[in-house]
Amino acid sequence: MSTQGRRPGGAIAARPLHFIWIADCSGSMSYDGKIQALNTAIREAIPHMRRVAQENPHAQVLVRAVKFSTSASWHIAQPTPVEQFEWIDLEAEGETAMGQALRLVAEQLKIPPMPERALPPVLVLVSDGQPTDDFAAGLKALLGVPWGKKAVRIAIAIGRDADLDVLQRFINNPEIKPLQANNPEALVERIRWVSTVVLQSASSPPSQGPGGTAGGSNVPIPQPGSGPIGPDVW
Amino acid sequence: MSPKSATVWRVIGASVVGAIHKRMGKPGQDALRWQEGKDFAILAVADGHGSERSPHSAVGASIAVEVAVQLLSEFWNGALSSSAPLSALKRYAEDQLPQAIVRKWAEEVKAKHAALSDVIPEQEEILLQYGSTLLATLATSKFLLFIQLGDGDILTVRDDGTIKRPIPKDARLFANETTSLCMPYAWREMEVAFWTGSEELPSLILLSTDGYANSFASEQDFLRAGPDYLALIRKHGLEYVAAHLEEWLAEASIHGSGDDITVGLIYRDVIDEEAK
Repeated sequence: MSTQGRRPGGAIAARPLHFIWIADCSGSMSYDGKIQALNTAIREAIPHMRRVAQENPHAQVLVRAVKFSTSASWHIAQPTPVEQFEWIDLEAEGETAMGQALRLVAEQLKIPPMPERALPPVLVLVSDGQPTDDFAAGLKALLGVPWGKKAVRIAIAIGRDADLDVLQRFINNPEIKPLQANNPEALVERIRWVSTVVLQSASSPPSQGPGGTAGGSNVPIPQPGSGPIGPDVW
Repeated sequence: MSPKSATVWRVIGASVVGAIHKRMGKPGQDALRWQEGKDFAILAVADGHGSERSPHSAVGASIAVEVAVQLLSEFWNGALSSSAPLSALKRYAEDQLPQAIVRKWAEEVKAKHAALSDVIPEQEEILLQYGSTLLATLATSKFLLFIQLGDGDILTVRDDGTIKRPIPKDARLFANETTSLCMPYAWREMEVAFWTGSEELPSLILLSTDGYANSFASEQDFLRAGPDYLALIRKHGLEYVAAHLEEWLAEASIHGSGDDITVGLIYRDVIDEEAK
């Protein structure tokens, strides 16, 4: 081994930051353009995510997505560097297997495949309705894995029929409320806020002593703008 | 080792402000302090939390390393003057020293806070504002003492390159969460390892704050640093490593975690007493 002038130790790398969309593709999302609006909002958020990632080079942002309807599956399974991430449109039909979706995510948040040195992952649950499977079991599975408990969990409620209680239970932090999006403009705004403000906070969290922040995550999350955005369409 | 040779412990260290803090115009939160003696060395590193709830944690970290060096020095002086058996020293180190360190740290923090502010909140609130981790080592001719409260790493490296962690990793400490000097009954969280002559003496001891290990792609990449430092010291000398250490830590922060990074090294040198 030549050590002349060479930095001791092996490879240096930014810390992985896993960002996971958990998207409702149930039949009700096919009404009033909701699924199209969701596809558009996520696609439009990608350049903003890339900008945040560029401004925070010590976090390697890796994006993927789970979809759920009558069953749940990985929509984009491979954690993809945000610089290369391309959105694939979702289609909507069927039931609302939200609990199964959370179990899928929980499996991927175990150590391994998650590394210990990662930054707390960001999980964004987007839904317009109520789960039709065992949501409690899925949530228990998610919060039962250390990275699931430490994750930043954000929920976006599409329309007035979304189950806010379920979404609040997913967030599991009394200081963070589900974000309401009752029209396409609001959905774009909420998605952009999650993709930028939340991502920024997760990219450089301070150490937390005992107790951390509420909800298990150690990432302080700024409050989004209060009040509705635009008229109620959904 | 020849009969006329002696072990000398030599210490070097460096601390860099993290690339993230630099970009935000914030000060570093780590602290480093050491003391060398004829037949002992003490090294302490600490990492202040840097969170909104701990706005004075840089001061808390500074106090932590000062207290650790002071109390470990007193412990060693007491051991020399009392000729207490190793078993008694071990018992004191495990049972009494953590409480002494935490208590002294809390006293110093409250005194500092009283001098800075007219507002005196409850003790727990004061201590939280100065929250910090603490890692320290006392290397002597008779024993090695390691203490750790919170995240960070202590590694030993033997001549043959074997790496050990005197204090096992705490599985609770990840996702930027750490135990801290500011916790109620913090001494209960302080881990202590006391090594005597039955253990082969390491050639190098490395203490680092968590920004260092978090900068490496894997645990294996981080662990390589220990043997690499030893090889560099053997090949180019301790002064060479001391001169380059800050540059290497800055590189790790810039391309790795972005966090503050502090590394201290205790090197076991063997001196030919006839040549002195």
